Amino acid sequence: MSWFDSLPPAEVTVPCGAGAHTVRWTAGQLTLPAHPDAEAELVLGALGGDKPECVTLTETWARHAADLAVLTTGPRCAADRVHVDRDEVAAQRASLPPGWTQAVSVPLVARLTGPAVPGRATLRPLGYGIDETRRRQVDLIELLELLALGPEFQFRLSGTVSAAWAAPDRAGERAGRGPAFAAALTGRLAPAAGDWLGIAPDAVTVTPHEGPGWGTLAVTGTGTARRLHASLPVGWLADVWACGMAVAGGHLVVAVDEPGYPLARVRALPAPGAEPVAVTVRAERDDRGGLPVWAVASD
Amino acid sequence: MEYRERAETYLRLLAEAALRPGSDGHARRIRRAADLLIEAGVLTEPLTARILADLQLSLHVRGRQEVFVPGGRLRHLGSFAPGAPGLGSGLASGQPSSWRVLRPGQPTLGSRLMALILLNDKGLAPATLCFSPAVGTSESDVPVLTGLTATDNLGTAYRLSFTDGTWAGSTWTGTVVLIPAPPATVRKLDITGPAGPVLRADVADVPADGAAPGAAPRSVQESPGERLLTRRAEAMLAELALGIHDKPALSQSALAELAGTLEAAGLLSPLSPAPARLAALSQLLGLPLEGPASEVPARWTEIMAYYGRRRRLAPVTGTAAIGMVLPEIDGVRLAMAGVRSGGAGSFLHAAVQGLAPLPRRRPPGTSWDTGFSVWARDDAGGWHLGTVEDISPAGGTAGVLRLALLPPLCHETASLTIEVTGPSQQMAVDLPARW
Repeated sequence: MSWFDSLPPAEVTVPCGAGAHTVRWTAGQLTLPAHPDAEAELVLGALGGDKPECVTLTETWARHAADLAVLTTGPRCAADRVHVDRDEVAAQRASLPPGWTQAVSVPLVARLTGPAVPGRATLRPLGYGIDETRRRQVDLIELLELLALGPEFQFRLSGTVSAAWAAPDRAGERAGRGPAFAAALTGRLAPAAGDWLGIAPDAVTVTPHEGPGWGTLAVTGTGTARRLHASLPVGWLADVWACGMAVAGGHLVVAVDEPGYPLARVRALPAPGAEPVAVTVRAERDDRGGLPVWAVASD
Repeated sequence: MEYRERAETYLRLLAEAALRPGSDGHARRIRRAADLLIEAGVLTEPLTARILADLQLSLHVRGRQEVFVPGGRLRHLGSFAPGAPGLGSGLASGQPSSWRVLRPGQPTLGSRLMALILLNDKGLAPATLCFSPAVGTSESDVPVLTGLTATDNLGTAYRLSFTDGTWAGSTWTGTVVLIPAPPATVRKLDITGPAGPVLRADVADVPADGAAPGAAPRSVQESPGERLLTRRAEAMLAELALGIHDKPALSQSALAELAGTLEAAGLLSPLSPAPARLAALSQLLGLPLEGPASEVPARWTEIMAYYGRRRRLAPVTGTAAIGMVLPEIDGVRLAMAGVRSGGAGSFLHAAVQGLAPLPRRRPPGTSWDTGFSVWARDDAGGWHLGTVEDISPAGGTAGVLRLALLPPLCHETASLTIEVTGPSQQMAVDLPARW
């Protein structure tokens, strides 16, 4: 079972060659119905042949599958509309100098997120040379191209990135990104906590949780002094938030025991200070900025 | 949590808050906070620029076009840049320093060598060179200095170059750079001009690599926020002494924002006396702030008292040799060469390794901020603030510093207690001064 089991498939139409093709996200993967043998087309592209745009798009998706800039730039909640004009991005790509249009195939986990990640041979420190300038420019355009796919894909890409970083064997790397994850978690729990408790988003702070258990959550003070402090694992971003189930039926979901769509088994807080309760949640509709709306189906 | 992590978290959370609806205008505040965290030495400029660039992109894709220049001029000329590749990148990379210091023998009349500092590929000889008045006062060092040659008692001749120096009549004070590096066994150095000998100095090796005995670095007691406020205070004292009046004055609201940012970033305790101390100093300097005068350290008031006088004591005239390598603190090593004092003031000459690069010339109306505080106490207990007057690169990994002592020395002190405080380490060492 994987985090993406709690999300339905999504589709978008993108320009490809002279026409328009469907790009489908399902079970955590991008698929191209119009290119049944995309791998062969990738090989042809590598040999100098034309590479269809939507095949290039799947490469771009894979390159940014652990790119923390996705979390920095992407949506915080369904109401947070991130809009990228596809034509504007195409114009930016067209304005690149010749030879700059293709990114180096290096996982962006290294390039876009600052200091080196231990144990990855392809990492390079941030610099100011022409190569770095080129990389940054191409990375930026690629990121915008992915965001231009729309909210359904923005949330799914954010979930992909979060899941990549939440892997158990990456605890050491996560520790080096503590501030980035604190911001990513805070920026996403804050609107959810607002829906749950009516608390102001500026009063919410979250720190990354490591180790056993779902984390902690406490509310202190009253009135304008009311504060919510939580500690949540990075995996919460993929398992819960990216699937749109941060708040379900008046509960704050803190962990997912059995992902699924339209039914999932989760642990949720009915109120601050309470112990999480195991509940089944049901996706009721899918019209909220590309995310399902979940309600408690049964305790 | 380390200070760096706290500060980065704070800045990223500020950026998160700026993305929320109704938070227009936060971007400028974030940029000011970013500048401050760089100045406090806890965040590097590239990381901060990246956070701000991400914020700008995030605002852009949300249709928010706030005036915001991430990665622009994050820091002002002449300010501390933590994490920047330093003049002494060799130190930063763990390369051991092979500096050695030779001290001059008995002083002679006229020209004076402060010390001979042996680097890997060159020797640095901070010195006062007295020329015949017939040579004239030189506005340009070139005609006089280019005619000089140097040899040692082993018969080796050296190529010479010179850092920026100062002239007082026909006397030049600066650093002579000798290439190649003299051997540690050299015992005599002669510098000769067309008209004859200019400097003849006996030199002797300093035991234990010239390192000052008993000068073990220790951790700084102040938090990074307190250090920043202390450095701000020292900059204000330097501006008072140097007669810089055109900088924007600190206001109560600016200090409140400064302290508030440092507190929120976890760099300053709410109970810290440092903001009140800075406010009190500002009040004494005539700025519209209020603070308890009792909080102002005695060494600060000594400077204000000196420069507040109508008739000030004249600086002592002379050259003192010191010749001592100080232990490395925060990746920076200093070799104190000596002091030259005269009508223009008192100047401590030192070689430095590991300092972040600074602009070659101090922009008018600013004081240089190296991220370090240097104080000197004379044998009468008087404190003197050391501010960077000039820095000259001395080949890739080293530089030559001229620090103005404020106020200047007014007598031939037999010793100087040098106190150096970096972002996280400090030291104090007693150094004999031979005039």
